[in-house]
Amino acid sequence: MKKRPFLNTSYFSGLLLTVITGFTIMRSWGEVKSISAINWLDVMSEGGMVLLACFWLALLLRSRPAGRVTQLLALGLCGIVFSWSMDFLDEFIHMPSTLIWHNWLESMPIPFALILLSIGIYHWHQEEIAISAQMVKRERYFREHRLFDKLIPIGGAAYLKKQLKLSLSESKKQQQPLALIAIDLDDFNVINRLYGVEEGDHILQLVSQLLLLNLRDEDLICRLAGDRFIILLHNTNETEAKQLSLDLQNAVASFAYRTKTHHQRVYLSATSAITMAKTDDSDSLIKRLNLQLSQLKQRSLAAS
Amino acid sequence: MAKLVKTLGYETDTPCLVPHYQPAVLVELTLSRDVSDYHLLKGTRLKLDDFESADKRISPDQYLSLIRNCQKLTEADDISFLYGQRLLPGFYGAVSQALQQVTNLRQAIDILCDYHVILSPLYTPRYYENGEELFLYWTDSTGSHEQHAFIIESTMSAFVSMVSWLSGEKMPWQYEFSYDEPEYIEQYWVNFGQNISFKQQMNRLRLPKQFPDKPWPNAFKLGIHGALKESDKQLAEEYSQYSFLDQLYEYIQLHINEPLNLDKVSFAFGVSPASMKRKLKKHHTSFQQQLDLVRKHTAIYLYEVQQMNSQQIAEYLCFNDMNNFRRAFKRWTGISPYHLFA
Repeated sequence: MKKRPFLNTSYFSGLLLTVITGFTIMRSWGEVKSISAINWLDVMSEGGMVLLACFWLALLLRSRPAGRVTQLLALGLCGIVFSWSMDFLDEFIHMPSTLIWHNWLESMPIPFALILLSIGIYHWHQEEIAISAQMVKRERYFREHRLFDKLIPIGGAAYLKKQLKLSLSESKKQQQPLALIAIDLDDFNVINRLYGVEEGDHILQLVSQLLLLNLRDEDLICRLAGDRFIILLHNTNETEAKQLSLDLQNAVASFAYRTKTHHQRVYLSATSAITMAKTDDSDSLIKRLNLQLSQLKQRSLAAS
Repeated sequence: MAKLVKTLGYETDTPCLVPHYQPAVLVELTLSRDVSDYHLLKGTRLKLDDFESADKRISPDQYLSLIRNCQKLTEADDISFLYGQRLLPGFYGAVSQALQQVTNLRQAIDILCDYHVILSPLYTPRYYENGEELFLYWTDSTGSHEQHAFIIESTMSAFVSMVSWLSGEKMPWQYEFSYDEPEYIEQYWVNFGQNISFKQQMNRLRLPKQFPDKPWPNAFKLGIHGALKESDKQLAEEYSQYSFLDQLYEYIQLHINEPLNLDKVSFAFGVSPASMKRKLKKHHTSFQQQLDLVRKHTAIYLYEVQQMNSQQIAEYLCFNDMNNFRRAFKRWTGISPYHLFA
């Protein structure tokens, strides 16, 4: 994923043009103040506001994909930047108060800008709801982007630990069984070695999507580390969990991955372990699950 | 005592590493994670072209700042393990070829130790064994300081991943680390398994003794001799076969049952005590620390291999008084000899 260019230049050039127009209008009707008449405190605070609003606009344009909501928010912010910069220029140019429209330039755009911004924020809210619906199975209770996995769009180990603590207390309160699945690709090191880390990263991204497709809406998947994923199954008993883990293994085994460069077919398989939450805390639970998985791997290796 | 060390080994600021060996692997891995080369090379005094040149050499210091940048920019806890998996046998000329043709684990370890300056320039591998186990441990050869966990993680996963790749077998390694359990312990579980312990005396691997001599499938007995002869030529062209800290370690180890001090060792190295001190400071260590390190390792060796008791170990290490030994031992290891040698 490439980053978008830092500034979406058309918004900024349009903004610059209107500010210059505003400035020329003010310059031709008003008169420049003498140095002693300038209130420097106002200059500082109003200039700071303009800079901050420009910063918001830059962040918004950089982080959001283009689209209707982005356009509304950006135009709203542009209006605010314009009116604040007129306010700022006002400190240097005195407009004769006999002129009816002497303060229109700074106060007229504000209501329009705020209306645009409000419509934008409303649609943003709708958009967030839609995105949250897509994030189901990847997050529960709370969102914390700092705990997202850097490589794959699901939570990492830290997110898992926090979630597990919450789920443990919840399942205890409601007296529901809580099951955990650990699933790990077999010989993933060999894949990295044969096809390179970039290919390995891509496989992990796709496998995480594949696992997501095979989960129920109430389940939560996180990446523990490397090629090992942990799935939290709420209100699930051991038989159901076992069935689900088999389904996941089958899904991985029938996944026909072809490498990006040479379209070679890569055969994948996975080992999974399940455990039920009993009286232990989150750390010992994860530890137990991992131990179980390593033993299973050792055994399958000895059998082959 | 005559001057024993003829030429001093490479130091942390000696340009002696080939950039298109290990450093290039790191650069490629980091760039594949969407990091810009400008940020990665910032402060390393390196250009991307340097990794393509045949004659350029870089210092361990530059390599370490490359590692620092990589850690900071990727912010991924698994990067050291992924890096390690690509390091061995590697593409380092004849030595890598020789590694690919080894007949068993013992030969692989021998090659790793003999050609460590090419295969593992920042951490030096050494090994010993007793009737039950083989112990492979690493010591810092250039004062890696803050990056030591990254280097240990990549060094160990490099070796273990190479062994399972070439032997086609997962061996029951036991992992010991000298540092505290890191926050990202899951990475250790997934990459190393469950036999891991922290706050140990050394960074080392242990393996039951039936494994080192088990024959490996892809061995090529005829080819490996030629490859090893060529590796010797390759080694002779290196700046030095040891780092300065390696030489010091080995010198102290050789003279461990004599009373040693800074003056005596500086004389043997042909440098003044003041410049010896300066060199050690550059590597974030001191003479006392190095002496204590070798004594600790020797004590553990004497216990595990020679099966000496505390009394005998104290005598071997020139302690006349058991109380002194106990106090010193506590300083080296953090625990009393009776605890460790129980």
